Amino acid sequence: MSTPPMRCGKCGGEMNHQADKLVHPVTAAEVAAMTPALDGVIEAVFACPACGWIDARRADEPPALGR
Amino acid sequence: MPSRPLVVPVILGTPRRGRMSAHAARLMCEQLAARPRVETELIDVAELPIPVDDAGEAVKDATFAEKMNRADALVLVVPEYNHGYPGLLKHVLDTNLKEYIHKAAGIVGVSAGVFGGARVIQNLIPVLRELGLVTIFWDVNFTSVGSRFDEQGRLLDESFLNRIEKFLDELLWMAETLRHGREQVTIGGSG
Repeated sequence: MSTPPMRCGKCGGEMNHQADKLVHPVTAAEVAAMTPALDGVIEAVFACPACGWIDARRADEPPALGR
Repeated sequence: MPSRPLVVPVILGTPRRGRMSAHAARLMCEQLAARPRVETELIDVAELPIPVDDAGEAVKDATFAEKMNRADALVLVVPEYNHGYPGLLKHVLDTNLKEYIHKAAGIVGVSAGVFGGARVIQNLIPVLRELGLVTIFWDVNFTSVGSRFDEQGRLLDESFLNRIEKFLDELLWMAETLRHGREQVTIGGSG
């Protein structure tokens, strides 16, 4: 299942998914979802090709095995 | 060639009174401002309205965060205190995260002695890495900083200018390359 594209909060353009960053969990659900191999939660980070703006959201899916 | 100028703020990383690092930070700003297609400004950690009764993104300052978001690279001017970095600098850096990802960072070490901040640079690199910044392999080391500038902050030893030129050449190359990657290369897209 593909996730919807991220729209730039500055110019409205479609953003590029440029990074997945492991970050500290914030909510109890995120803490509960942590595994020994994934010591945190993944934040998907985006950049706007038109204006350079950066944004992020929690990744919807865990990374695929073997990646 | 990118249509937007590269945005490269200089962060003065200490609030200590009488700081000689301020001279180094102003010099780095001057050298950056002389480059074509580069925007810069001096950001003084002592002037940021970031509270110290909490930490991390909970105390994010909107203005500072927007400056980090717009930045393509950072120059961090950092004195060495007890072999480490100033605590306020770490506190300030920790208020953002996504804003730093895949952006270049260069460190200017400052010390009163002969090491020129070499130890603070080594200690700061792992922090910058975890924040998602990409450190360059050039540093600037202001050794014996008390004798490098006059009372008005003018550089007394112009041999530093050649080193700063090499540092900025590498930083701006990385800034431009990483901007292309952020905006055009999708993570996992080549596997």
